[in-house]
Amino acid sequence: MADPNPRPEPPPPLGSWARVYLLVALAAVIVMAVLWGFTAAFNMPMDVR
Amino acid sequence: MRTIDWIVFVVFLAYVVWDGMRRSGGAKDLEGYFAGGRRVPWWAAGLSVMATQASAITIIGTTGQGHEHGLDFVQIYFGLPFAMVLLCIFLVPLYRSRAILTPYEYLEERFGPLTRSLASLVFLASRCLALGVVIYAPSVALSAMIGLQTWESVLIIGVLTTLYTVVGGVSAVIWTDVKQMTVIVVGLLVVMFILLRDLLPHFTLGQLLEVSGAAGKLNALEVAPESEVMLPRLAGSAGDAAPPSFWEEKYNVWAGLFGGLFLHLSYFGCDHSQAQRLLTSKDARDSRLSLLLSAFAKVPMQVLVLFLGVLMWLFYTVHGQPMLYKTSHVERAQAPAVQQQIAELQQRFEVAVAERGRLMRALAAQPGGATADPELLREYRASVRGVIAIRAEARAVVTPSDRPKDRDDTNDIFCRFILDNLPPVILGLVIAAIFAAAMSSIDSTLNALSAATVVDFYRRWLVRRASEAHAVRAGRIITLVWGVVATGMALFLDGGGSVIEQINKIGSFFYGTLLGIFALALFVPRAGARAGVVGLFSGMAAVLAVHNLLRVEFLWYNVVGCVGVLLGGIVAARWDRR
Repeated sequence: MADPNPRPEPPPPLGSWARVYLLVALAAVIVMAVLWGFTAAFNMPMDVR
Repeated sequence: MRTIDWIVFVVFLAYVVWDGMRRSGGAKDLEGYFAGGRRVPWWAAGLSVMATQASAITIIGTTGQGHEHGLDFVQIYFGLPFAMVLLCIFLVPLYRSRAILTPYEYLEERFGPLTRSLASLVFLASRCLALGVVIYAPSVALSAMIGLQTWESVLIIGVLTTLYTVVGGVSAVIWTDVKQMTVIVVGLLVVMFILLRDLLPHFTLGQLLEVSGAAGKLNALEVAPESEVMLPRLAGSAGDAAPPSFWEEKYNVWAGLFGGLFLHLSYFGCDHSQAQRLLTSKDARDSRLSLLLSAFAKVPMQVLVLFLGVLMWLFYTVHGQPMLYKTSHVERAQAPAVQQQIAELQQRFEVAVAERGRLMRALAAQPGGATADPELLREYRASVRGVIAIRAEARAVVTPSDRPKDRDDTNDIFCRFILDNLPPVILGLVIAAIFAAAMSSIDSTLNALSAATVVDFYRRWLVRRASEAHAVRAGRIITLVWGVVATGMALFLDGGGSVIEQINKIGSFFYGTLLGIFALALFVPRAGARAGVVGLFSGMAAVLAVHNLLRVEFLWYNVVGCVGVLLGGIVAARWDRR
């Protein structure tokens, strides 16, 4: 088996995308926080599945 | 179904097929047929990504999940936005800096032809298995709904989708997906509007939330695990005595964040039925944007679809609900052997449903909210449990003992609801939306299966000097073959259970391994050809071992497979260095 093969190149620098990724992650955390608050405010577990 | 609904439905299907087939002009070479000439706008690729994931199951299965179990299924998607960001950082630049047509081509560059072929084979096997289910499952529900045989629905979905996918290639897939996604969203919003228009004159939104929360339906995020047992149970009878562990919980925030992260990394980045869309837009920027559309929209959309299920449950609580939703259950309930038993259950069920409705109204009218009168709340929750128990009993009576999975009717609830309650034209539109959802998932998979077969096997091993025209012809024939295989599998499929879980389970047997091999390529520079092959097999062996030895929910298989590949690959790489 031919070995080793070319090593992986490092990913390019994030540049201006860093802010976009941060925004996506922040939005995801906010949505989860809202859902957590929503669950805590209204839900009463039934233990029926 | 009324004539006007049939007309809406048939016109939509005819339009989709025509729209797909007219895209054949751009498919003159493999880049055109399998990558849309790399000219697809990011928003169209992004909508196609969402449409592919939103199969018919998203409509009929997820709304059913919402009706039965509330919002907890949404947690499976919590890892998705983070997965999309990681894919944008690591895999998009890798794919878009090369003129590749499948992600597995990169694996040849890194690990050699054997690993590429094996990874592509893993993709073909997993997707082929899932595709039969994707056609079969909605066909069962749809056929019962519109008065066709299951095989007739399978043929309509399978033949029409194969037809335009063969002719138009990935451009047909993407542009029909855009229309299909639009019809899906419009269809769901219309059903939500109809439900809210019915419920809101009787209750305020706050009251609806109070009474559905009191019934445990608003369980969108559960931080605390139900089980305190952190060690997984053994599979088989050896583990029966022990209580279920944390690892057996289907939907909680931890399984969603970590298991879901691995599942979505693999699904969107390494499964060619989705990764293909990354290769169709003009550059890395557009590929990133197409992924980030899902990162923003998927979780809110999933919450809305599940909430639609909760609204259906509220509707049935107010107006009364059927005891049996599935057509086959209703038919078996007529059999003389069970008729008497079912009649008694029906009587108890009607009393229980009326009582639940009365208590719900009383609870909603409480000025201090659902918890103001603990005794009333307790009675209401007991009535909710009572209805669930009688329905379970009735389903057990009409389910043949040799087909226990047939007991589940989650996928039939939405179908029953729309058939009984939607006005003319709207019913035709929503049924068209369900067919659209099925077709939008199948077309992508067919084209991706064909791409992997042609690029990774046919042109790689069999006809290496194939001209572009020859390769496109082969692509069309192979798409047709996969269409016939998938439709044939769907015709012979049998079983039941919640379809959405079946598909995720099938995927999870392989997804972790696929992700693992890309992670090995990216993060273990010393890993070479031998490490790639050893890693692939150790990932699959790890999933198989966990499946056979331990009781672990399927989402975790993704983590196990990925870690298995990395461990096996690292050990093999170290061994090679000696």
